[in-house]
Amino acid sequence: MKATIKENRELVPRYFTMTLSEMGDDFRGEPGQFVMIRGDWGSDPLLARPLSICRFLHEDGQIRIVYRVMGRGTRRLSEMKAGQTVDINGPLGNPFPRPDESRRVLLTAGAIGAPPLIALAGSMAVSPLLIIGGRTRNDVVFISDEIRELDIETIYVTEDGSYGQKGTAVTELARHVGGNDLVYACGPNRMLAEIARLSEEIGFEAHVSFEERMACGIGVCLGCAVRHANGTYVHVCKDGPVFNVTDIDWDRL
Amino acid sequence: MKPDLSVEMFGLTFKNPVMGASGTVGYGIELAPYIDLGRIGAVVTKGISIEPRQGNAPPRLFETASGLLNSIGVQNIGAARFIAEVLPRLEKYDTRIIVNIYGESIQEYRQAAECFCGVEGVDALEVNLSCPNVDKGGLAFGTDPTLVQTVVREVKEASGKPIIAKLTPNVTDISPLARAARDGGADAVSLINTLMGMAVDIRSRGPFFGKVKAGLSGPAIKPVALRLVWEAARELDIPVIGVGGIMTGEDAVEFIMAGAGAVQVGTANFVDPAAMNAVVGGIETFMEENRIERLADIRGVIK
Repeated sequence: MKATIKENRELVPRYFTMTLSEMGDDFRGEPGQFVMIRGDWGSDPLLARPLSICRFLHEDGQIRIVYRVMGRGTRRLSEMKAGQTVDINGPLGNPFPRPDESRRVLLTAGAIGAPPLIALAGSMAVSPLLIIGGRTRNDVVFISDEIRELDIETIYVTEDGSYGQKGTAVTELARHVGGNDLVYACGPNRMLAEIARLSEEIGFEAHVSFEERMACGIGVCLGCAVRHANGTYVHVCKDGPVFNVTDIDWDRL
Repeated sequence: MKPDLSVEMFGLTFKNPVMGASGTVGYGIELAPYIDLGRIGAVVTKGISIEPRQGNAPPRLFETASGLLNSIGVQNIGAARFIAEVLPRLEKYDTRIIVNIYGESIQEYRQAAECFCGVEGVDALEVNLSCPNVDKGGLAFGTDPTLVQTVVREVKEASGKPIIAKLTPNVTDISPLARAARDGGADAVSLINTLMGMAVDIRSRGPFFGKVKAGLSGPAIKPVALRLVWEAARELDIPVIGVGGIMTGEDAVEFIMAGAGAVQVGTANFVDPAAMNAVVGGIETFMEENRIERLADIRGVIK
């Protein structure tokens, strides 16, 4: 389907926000789902890019994605202007399981892993605690407009101490989490593996969303394989992107 | 008058020449939410072996300039589960079903073919003689004319189905392989499978893929595919099915003019799951605009 770019703006260097309008009436996504997105730029780069949905602005028939320029595809996307159209396939993948809000919910984001967790926070009646970690200031403050708008209680943490606490999202999570808490996370595989280890140690339930290379997003290319705890490969696009940490073979990731 | 897109091959009528290429449409049913499978000529399933296969360890994909390198490794659920669980769902669609089979020895190819002997709903088998992403079988078979001929003969005998031999482009001269497939009794050949390539991770100073080499597909390989289809079509009197980088109806027409009896759309399905419908529509539009009534009027016009 085609969607029109309503806004595409740089938040801090390399981080962009894109609001898409005219998504069509049948577009009904849930937090944790993603879209495959591609501009009309010919055959290079060839593939669409999988990007998580950050905000569902249902009343306006819009969605917002927040992305980091990583390579050629996201750079081309960042150069697009309001009024231009993009091809969208989605919403795709399995959403985060709905949180049991009688439990304390902690969201743990590694930099550009934050957008789907913002979507989840936006769907909750009780504000969760968001921990967002990154290498340096820009890797955590890029999302602060959304955090303020949704009034999410947030702990910022940077590895170089340039903003918020000094440390990592996981060290900060370890300081706050208890065995009865419910943890949702999205970030690099190394971070998710540390959360899985912590979950095993402390006993909290954790659902994590993977960032993975994909060609199709719909389960036909089989490119986005991760090793399931049962020894088979599962695919991030169709079986995920959200998995319970106990579903994954973290030692062979 | 509407142009006639139908194609006759090995005693079967295909409503149009557009097929989904093996490895890019899953088992076929995965694309049903996106396209009308009844509007395409055939679905070619991903490679199916006797036993299920896990596929290769990630990473499996690397995007290149106008192309895609893959190292999937024939991940599939095995012939028995495909027949029991998938085929009944796929058969409901009004399209031809071609099952791509894969083995690591002549014996395994034969056994995989036997699984489909007498299985209704399977219209033909495509023999994957050219997968570059496995240690055994595949490419090793596909580059040796004697083995190509033997495997084709064995699978034809074991299955009783029409056989399409999928040939590799990773050879100096395609002619001996094309002739070997025909001599083994192939009813058609399809080409090209992916071109062997590789990618380097300069930060780790190592290969990007665990198996170092991977298969290149997409628009980047179309000129090579066209040339090989043209060469094979001149060599053979059985149909040549053209595949490699087809994104539009006009791309498909190029292959037909080079001599292809039918075409397969592959990587385009990843970019746009509805790509095959667009290719069918594009061929139709080209024929209408140029007053071409039948595909036979343009097939192989390039001598």
